[in-house]
Amino acid sequence: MQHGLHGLHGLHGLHGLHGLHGLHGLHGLHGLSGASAADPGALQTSTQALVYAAGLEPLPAAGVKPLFPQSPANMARWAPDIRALLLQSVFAEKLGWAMNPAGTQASVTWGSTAIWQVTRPTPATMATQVGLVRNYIDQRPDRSGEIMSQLGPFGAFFGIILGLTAARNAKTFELLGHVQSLAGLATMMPKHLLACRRPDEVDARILPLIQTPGHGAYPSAHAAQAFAMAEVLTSLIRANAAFFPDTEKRVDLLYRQAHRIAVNRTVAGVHFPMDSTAGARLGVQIGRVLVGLMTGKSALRPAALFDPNAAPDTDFLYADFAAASVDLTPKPTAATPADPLFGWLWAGAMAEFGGLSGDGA
Amino acid sequence: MLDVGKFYDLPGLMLNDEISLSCLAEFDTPIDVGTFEARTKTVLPDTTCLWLYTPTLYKNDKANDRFSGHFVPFLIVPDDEARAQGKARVGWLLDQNKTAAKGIWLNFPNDTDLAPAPGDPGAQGRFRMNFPLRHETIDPEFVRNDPGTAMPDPTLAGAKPLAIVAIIDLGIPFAHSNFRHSGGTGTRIDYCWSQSAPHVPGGEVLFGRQFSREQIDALVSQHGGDEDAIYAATGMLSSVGQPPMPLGRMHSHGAHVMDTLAGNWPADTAAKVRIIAVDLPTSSTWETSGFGKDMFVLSALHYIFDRADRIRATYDCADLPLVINLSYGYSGGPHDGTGVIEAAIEEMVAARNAVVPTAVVMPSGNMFQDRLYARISDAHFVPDGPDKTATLQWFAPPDDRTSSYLEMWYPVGSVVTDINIKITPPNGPALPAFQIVKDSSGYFGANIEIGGKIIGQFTVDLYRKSSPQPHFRAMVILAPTEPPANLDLQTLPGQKHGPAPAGLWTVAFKLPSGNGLPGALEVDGAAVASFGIECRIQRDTSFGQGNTGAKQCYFVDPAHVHYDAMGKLAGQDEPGQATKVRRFGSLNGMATAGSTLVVGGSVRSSQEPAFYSSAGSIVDGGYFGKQVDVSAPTERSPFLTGIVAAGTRSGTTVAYRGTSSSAPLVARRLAQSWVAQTTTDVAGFLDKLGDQVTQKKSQLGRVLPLNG
Repeated sequence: MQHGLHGLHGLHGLHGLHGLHGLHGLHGLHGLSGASAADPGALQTSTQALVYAAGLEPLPAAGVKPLFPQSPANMARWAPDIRALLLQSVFAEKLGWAMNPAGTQASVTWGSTAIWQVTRPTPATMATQVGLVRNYIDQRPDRSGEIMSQLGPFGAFFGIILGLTAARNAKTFELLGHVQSLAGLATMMPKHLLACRRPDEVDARILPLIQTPGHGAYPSAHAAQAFAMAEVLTSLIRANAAFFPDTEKRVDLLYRQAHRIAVNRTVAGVHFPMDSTAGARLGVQIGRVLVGLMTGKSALRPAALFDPNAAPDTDFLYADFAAASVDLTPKPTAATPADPLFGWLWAGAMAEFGGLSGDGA
Repeated sequence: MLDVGKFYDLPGLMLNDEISLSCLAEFDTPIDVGTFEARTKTVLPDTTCLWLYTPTLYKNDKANDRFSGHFVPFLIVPDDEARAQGKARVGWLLDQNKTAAKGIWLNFPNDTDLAPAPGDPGAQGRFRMNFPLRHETIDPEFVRNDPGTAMPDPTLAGAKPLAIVAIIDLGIPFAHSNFRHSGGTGTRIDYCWSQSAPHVPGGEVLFGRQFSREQIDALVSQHGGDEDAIYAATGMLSSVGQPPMPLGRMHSHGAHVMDTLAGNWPADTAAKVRIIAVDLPTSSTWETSGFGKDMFVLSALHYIFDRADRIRATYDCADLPLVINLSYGYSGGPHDGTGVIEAAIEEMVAARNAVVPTAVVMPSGNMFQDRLYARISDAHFVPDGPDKTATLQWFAPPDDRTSSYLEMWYPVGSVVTDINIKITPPNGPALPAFQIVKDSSGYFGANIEIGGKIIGQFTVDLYRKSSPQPHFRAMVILAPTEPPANLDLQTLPGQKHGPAPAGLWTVAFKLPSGNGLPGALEVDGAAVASFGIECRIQRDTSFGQGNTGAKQCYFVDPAHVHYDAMGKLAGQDEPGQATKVRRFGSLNGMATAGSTLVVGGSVRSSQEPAFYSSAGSIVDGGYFGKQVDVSAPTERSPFLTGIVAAGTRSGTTVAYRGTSSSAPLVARRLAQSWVAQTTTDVAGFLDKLGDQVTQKKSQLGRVLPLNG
């Protein structure tokens, strides 16, 4: 049975999570939301001092000029967290999921295409995988700074690869925040369906560096988010090929950073390597969906099944993932239509990579 | 085919395009350097475009006898034509000569054979490649094989010296004010050879640049004492596209060690002590690639001996003792003084000691708690069918971007059929046992394969077969557990390979059930049963500016108690025979030759051993092999860590931890005792510190008095 999320109804609940849940990446947006708040009492006393001067005349019968309805340009008027809700609504409209009756396989669909299919790990696989998690415990002192920094929005870890700065790249950072948020959203239903326990429940010797999050282990949302962000940024800088002299080197670093962010969660003791593999495969696909929504130029690509039980002692290595992602994307099929709201977001980010001598006029 | 490991060489070291290779040759009989080229060049792939250069070599002029030893450091240098043809790449040399490639391959022990001595076909020689050198550091004007003829003798300055202190280290700040005379009369450094400096015309050193006393004083004067400007002008700072240079940072190992050794002497002593310094290339700390620094170190020793003799001749000293501090170390090696660099240093020191007191001081090492040493003895074998088996586990960390080495040293007296080793990767199953078949040169090597991929190598060799007591050495060499960033495993030629799986590896040693371990030895003068198989994991850490991505493997032994009941790192090995992992025996593998003065580390406030200070072996309660000679503080207190000494720029200080700091303090005291003429040789100096036998029941050996 396949479910779709229709309308806004189911999504408002997410709004209430913002204060609790760094995962969705919206914290970073709050600082953008506007003017300094004044004391309401102060505003009232100043009102009483001024309002008499506005007079008592009626307004013109014709009223005021309205905004354009349905215009993506209105996105600029809405607060960033409202933009997030709008984008989530669009994204969720075609996002679906399914699980087989035996509860051994789950998939994520976009429209009618299965973009991600995985097998649920067996207890034996988890027992093997937890040994791999223990291999990483030695590295907690090396990586604890990164692990703590990546509890919330982690766009800055990609920003350093692209030379992003808050003053100049507000829209690119906002884009990264939305991608992180949407990819996180897309992992929650698969996590719910697959319902896999975390490493610290499997083995008492894990004793994670951070508190285990309140959702399932498989797939890793950090992996999905990080790889979706790398995928979208790759499209962004390739679409502005003249901007960097070394675009492809940066593309490589973006994916390596995504890999490191995912592995950091294994170092912390909250994810098995197979969680990262499954999450990264989902993230790459979500990234492609989002690029399609933003540009109309990406394409849906059906996914091969990932079965962690086939080789349960497999670690999550960058080289292996790079090889696997080739299988994941045999070739483009139908183009994804652009959505105007996502298009607005993309245009804002694109504009931040222009301004070079020789551009335009 | 044992040719895939070369792809893992030099991770991120920015040296792949350089073909000039440092090498070390060893001959069965002492060699006349004049015949060196004829015996060596025949094995090189393209004799029309590669030249052999030897650096300055020690002449031992006081004995009136040119020194001839078993070891010769040399460089293979391409001429300009070879460079223009694009052959100036390490990879090209490897491709041209698979035999030579074996020498460079992941530290594969198969050295390249050289031509026999004329008239003595039994006297063989062989050489091994070490690190590449950057082309711009090599001086084409250096007179090949007749070194140092262009070198002017030093000029007289001040009083007749009574001792020379020398340092071989990394990041020597030759313009630092701590090494100047307090009266402002210039530097106390007579010679500094910076091996990674861009060369200047003059033909004084084969590679890098020599800074003489006159040149240092001129540089200080010319730049008004601005040390940044001096180092920038001489190419000692990092620049784009080149390996990082240690003087580009605020502190360096060499600055700290040299300050402890020779900084700020009292004026009356300073006038009587000369300083010779050698600054090794940055790559010398990049052990993890499998290349060696032996050639750099041995060249440095030849240089120091040569320059010391020049100083002695200029001042017409009857006797000018020399103490050399070498604050380096690693965990591998045979640990009986027969390691390549140990034997090479030992024969030179012995030759010079015969005419002038000469001492080499080295740290004991910082590996006491690192679980890099394990000893398999008879007690560890359990019945296994018709045989018996002992197992040892080692942990290979994930995200290790460099190769890892496990050495298994069989006791002297073992034969090749004693070696029966089975390897089980993490999550099994056991790999088939290797059928050890020696190739024509006496070595055995086989790929370790998992799932059709080559992930490492297993080798057996009779290590330094011409040494007085050669050992059989088996090695397991693992590819990186994370492939280096510049390596695309999908596109390499040949069979698929790497990465090695991370996790717990198991090595099983098998013996026929009736047999004990081969070999026997003496402990404290009494014969004991076999010492056992000594297993050592080679040092594999990212030190300094290399950013190699190295991560250290270590042994895992359930019987080893790492922390005591109070939660502290346990300071003693477990009693009895059950434990394989040992703290005692973790001594620096470069420092086990007989004459080397080995220095441990202590906590100044408590006089307790520093927790990391390595020590010699204890067998059945007795002491076997090289032990710590003397110790000095390496920590101020349990709370104030490290010892404070100079940074790279005048006026800066930094605290460093480790026995690299205690060795130079002992070397300093030794030189002081010679200047004060309270002792005249090393033995006299040690005698005054007490008897090692009564004090050695710790990591400390003799204890250097705090106020000497």
